[in-house]
Amino acid sequence: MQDKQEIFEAVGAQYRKLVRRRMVLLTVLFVSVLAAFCVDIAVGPSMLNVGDVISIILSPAQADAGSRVIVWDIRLPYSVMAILVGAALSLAGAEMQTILNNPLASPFTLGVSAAASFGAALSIILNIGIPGVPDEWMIAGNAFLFAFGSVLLLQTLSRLRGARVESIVLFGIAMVFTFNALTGIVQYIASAEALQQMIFWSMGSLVRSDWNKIQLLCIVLIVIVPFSLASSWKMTALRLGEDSARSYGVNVKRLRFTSLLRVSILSATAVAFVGTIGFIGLVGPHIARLLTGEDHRYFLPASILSGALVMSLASIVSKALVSGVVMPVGIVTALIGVPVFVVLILSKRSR
Amino acid sequence: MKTTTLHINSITAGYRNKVVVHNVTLPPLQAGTVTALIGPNAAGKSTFLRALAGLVKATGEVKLNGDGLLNVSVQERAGKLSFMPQTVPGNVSLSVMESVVSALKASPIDQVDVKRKDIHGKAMNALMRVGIIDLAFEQLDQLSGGQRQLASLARSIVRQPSVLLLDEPTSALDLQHQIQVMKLAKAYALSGNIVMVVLHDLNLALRFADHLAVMEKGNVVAFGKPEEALTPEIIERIYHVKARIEPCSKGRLHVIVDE
Repeated sequence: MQDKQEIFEAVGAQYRKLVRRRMVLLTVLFVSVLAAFCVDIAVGPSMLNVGDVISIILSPAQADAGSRVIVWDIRLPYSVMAILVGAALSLAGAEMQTILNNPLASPFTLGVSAAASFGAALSIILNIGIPGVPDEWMIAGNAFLFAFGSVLLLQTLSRLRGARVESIVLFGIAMVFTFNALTGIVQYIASAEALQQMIFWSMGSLVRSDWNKIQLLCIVLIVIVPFSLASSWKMTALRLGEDSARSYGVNVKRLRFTSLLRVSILSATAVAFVGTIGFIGLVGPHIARLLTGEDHRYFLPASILSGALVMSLASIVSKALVSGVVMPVGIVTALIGVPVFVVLILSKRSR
Repeated sequence: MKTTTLHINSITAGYRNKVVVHNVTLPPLQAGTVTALIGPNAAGKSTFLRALAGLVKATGEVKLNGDGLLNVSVQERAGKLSFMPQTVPGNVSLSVMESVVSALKASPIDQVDVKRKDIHGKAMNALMRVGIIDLAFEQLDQLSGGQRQLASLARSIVRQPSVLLLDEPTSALDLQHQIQVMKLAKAYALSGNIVMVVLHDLNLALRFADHLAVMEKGNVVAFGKPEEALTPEIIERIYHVKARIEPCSKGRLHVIVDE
């Protein structure tokens, strides 16, 4: 009996140590995001160094008008948006990977972003508006409708008997092509003005960030994240297999539905504001998984933070790669993401 | 002391337009017993077990001490009954301990205070019972198939269900692990619970089960003590194989196949 007591204390202590280590990792991630953010706001075509930027942020009144506009209306929205979009897409990717039981799932790879993009394009060309509702909300709303539709399709397919991991990815690719073609049709018949607005979606970019959009995305995250975290135990249980999860008392159907609803809202708002930025939803969760494992109490926050970090770094690169030019950030994330995607496919084979 | 009894009455179950289990009724099952479901492939054993677990749509009656188990919420059922699937995913980045804790925390268990220390204690107890406490911090994706199955068993008993359903728990295991899993199932029954297990290995069934339910084409064709339910006639009828059932030098019954 004494023995058992001792073993229990040792195992209990080790478990607490594990939990502490995860908290430390989350803290490190958080600090890294802050650091990347600071570098991000200091990088840009105009000649402002970190010290200048920080003093302008802290006391805008004392700065000259030009610098103030650059920092407050260009640099800050760009960098804040990078972090929010990274967080949203990465959380969406993490939830998708768990719910669809598919390590290759993400809003971009499975066509949810493409669907949202098509929804946004439709909304722009049809120019339907409800009086009193800002255009941005209409576009985001329509993007959501299409994103949710595509997610429901994915879910139906993944529940069919015999649907394997690879076949879902192939179906996702089919959706990417389909929605890109549809968006192409819309672009073809669009007016020059609408077309310009649409091109922006096909090439994800942060340059149109403004405080209104940031506000909206903030609200979305503040509403969604608590629901995600609240279901983290159920999600962890789902990783152990659907039958097992149900046997532990998880209503899997409801969990799937609510999670995919969150995924759609997150990817749709991100896409509506910055266009299709690929691979963040794939890379973020995989970094998180390597760091914290799949206890979703840590995995989900870690995904949010690593998504924000990768996106912030991509934002830095997008401004620093060619001096004086701000490249669309989607190009940078694709350059980072494609190799990761390939490595994931290869590592699955060898298993 | 109140004894736990499981009543199973006229269970019919299946998928979409195919009925797989036809109106199966078993005599009341008592705490402390292991009931093995045996029969050829496609006899409906797994479907029957899954129906009892609420994983397949079914009509009929499953009652634990008079309380219905079929038409209750997933969460309520999980407090009384646990189902261990045949296979568990292998690519999970969780330690064994974390996975057992998550099985506990996935939904609230009634009548148990969910203090943190309690949760950890329960998880460790389950690992101890299954004999894998030394694997507590091993990653699931790095365990052998047998160890993974034991971890799954630990998760299945951690909520202390009165009814434990095991779907071919030994099918992928070596001899040592087969015996280990069956001994654990027997021990779990003897601590006051009801265990039902789908088995293909008739010798394991003869040795560890208190009752056999022999299934064929969605019906139970024989039920009773192992030596009563499993006869050469039954084996020939359902498996189309000639066999004898004879005691070995230690007096245990074995199936000896003659062709």
